[in-house]
Amino acid sequence: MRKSTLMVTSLFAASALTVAWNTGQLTANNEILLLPAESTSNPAPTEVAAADPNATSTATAEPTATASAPATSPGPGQTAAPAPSPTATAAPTTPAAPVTVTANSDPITYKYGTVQISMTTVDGAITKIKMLQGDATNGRDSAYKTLIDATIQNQGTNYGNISGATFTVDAFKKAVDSALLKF
Amino acid sequence: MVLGSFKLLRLERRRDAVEVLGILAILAPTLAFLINGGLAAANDLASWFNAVNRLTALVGTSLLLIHMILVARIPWLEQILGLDKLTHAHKKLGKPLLYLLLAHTITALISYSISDGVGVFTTLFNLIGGYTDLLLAFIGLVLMILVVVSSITAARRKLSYEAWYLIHLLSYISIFAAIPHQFSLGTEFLAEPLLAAYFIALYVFVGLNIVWFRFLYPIVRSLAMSLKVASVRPEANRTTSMVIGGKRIESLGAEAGQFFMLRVLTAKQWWRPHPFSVSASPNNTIRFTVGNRGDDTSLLQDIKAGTRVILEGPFGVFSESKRSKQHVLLLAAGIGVAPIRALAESLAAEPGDVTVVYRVTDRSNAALLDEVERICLERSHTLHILDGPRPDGPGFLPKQEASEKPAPEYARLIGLAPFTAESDIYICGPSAWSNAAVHSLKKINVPKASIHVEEFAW
Repeated sequence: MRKSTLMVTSLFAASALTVAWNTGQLTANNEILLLPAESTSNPAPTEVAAADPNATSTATAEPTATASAPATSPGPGQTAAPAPSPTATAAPTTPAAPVTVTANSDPITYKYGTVQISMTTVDGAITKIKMLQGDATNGRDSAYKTLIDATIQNQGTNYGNISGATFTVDAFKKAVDSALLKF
Repeated sequence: MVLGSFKLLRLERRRDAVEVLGILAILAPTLAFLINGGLAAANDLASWFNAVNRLTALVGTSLLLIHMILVARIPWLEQILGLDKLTHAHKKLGKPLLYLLLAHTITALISYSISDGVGVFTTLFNLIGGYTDLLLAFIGLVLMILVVVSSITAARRKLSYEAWYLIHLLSYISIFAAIPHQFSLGTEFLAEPLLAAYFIALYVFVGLNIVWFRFLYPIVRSLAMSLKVASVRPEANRTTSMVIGGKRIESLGAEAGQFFMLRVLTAKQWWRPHPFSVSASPNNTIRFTVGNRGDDTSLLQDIKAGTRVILEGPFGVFSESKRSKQHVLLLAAGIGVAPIRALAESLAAEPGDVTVVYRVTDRSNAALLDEVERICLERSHTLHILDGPRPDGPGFLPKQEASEKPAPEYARLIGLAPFTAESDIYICGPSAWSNAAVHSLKKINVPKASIHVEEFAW
């Protein structure tokens, strides 16, 4: 190759790589911004609050408990719009008994499928996550078990990625955040 | 016949364009990877390894496709770069390609093993046990290692051509075995249908070119022309001239200095093609002059007239189509004289434009010597026949007599051919000899684009 061609090609390649790199940084940042409540998702909800009046709660908690189910207003951190269909079902227990609430997330559709979860909290702590919809192509759904464990352990979505399942992890985290917004 | 600096520029531009195309083929998927945030998403050790894994996979696949297209024998590509350069580039790419694919495999394993919290080998067994596509890809990788190892110089010396050839055929299986996992598990391809479509198109393009130009086209054409050995005649210095005839054989369009891959359809030789330069193409025939250098070429000495042959080609950029200057210097050594003789006969030239230097060990036993002498006399080319022993060190001219004033070879060459620096120079001979000649030419600042070397060491 002639020197002039080599120089032009190298210049073009270098500038194209730089532009692509910057574009990549931007898209990556945008993706993070798009994640709802990514920054506020870490603290697990400390209050059981039904944001929606339609919520049917059978909680028989002590009158003094702050978690007297249907009355309280949404928590301070929960500024998001009320969810369409939360079904809070606190189990009737003894006075000191924990308050159990279950909410369904929005279905999150992404590149490889749809993720929808049902989350159960006991006294505000995430204890159980069930996959309502978890179809994903090519074995990506095998990531869900790991993700469920990680969410319960971290009480939120502040955990890393599973390499090779980046998009599935993102979608799952969105589903968890969406479910948390409904308590 | 077009000559001049504009032609030289055009030839250089074409060569550059092809090379730039190759660079772009590697750049394109890299850009797609970066634009999709492939590196931006890397934030911990596992994801860094994963990013490297994905990038090496993309670049490796592109390089693999380039690697294959280099030996697909596509005429337009061959006409620009020449089969010997393409083959040389294919050889040079082999090892870097394997390193890239190994890096892809190893970084993938490390990345998964970090995020799963298990050892690398456990990860390997989990992956190839859990995904058929990955098992296939792993087999492909092992085969590719085998192919590359069998092709390194040390192994080539020990292996017979047959063994090497059979092992090399495994590379096709290796490539096919690796394809499924790219599309079923490759994050890039699944996430970017456009990128996947681009690679599918490349695979199809390369595949069709190989199937057609390497396999079907030469066979179909040779059978249609019913190419056969017309006559065989022994020449001086254990060489043989073999004339091939057939229907409309002139439509092959071979220029002087080009060569064909000749496949003689006998029980022993049908599977092994040999490159032979066209030494003359009179009256609807093609003549090859073949040196007896052992193995198959000795079998060719007593081939019978009427034997069917398959011709692949014509190949080579060692022809007048790459000439841009009025003066031409032709350098031949040994059996390298075959294409030189054909050029001397056919080059457009006025008396004195062409100088032929023919290096022989023994004047009484030099191939095609009388023909070269006759052509040079008839066309008024300057002819120097140089005989005598080899120099002590590397060199392409005979050893100087003790009585001569010692002079470097480039000075002696200018003495023989004063226009050397303003000539197109065609060199054909053993590779050590050719290299010595090129070395001397560079000393007198002959531009690279004006030096045409035909390698006949394969």
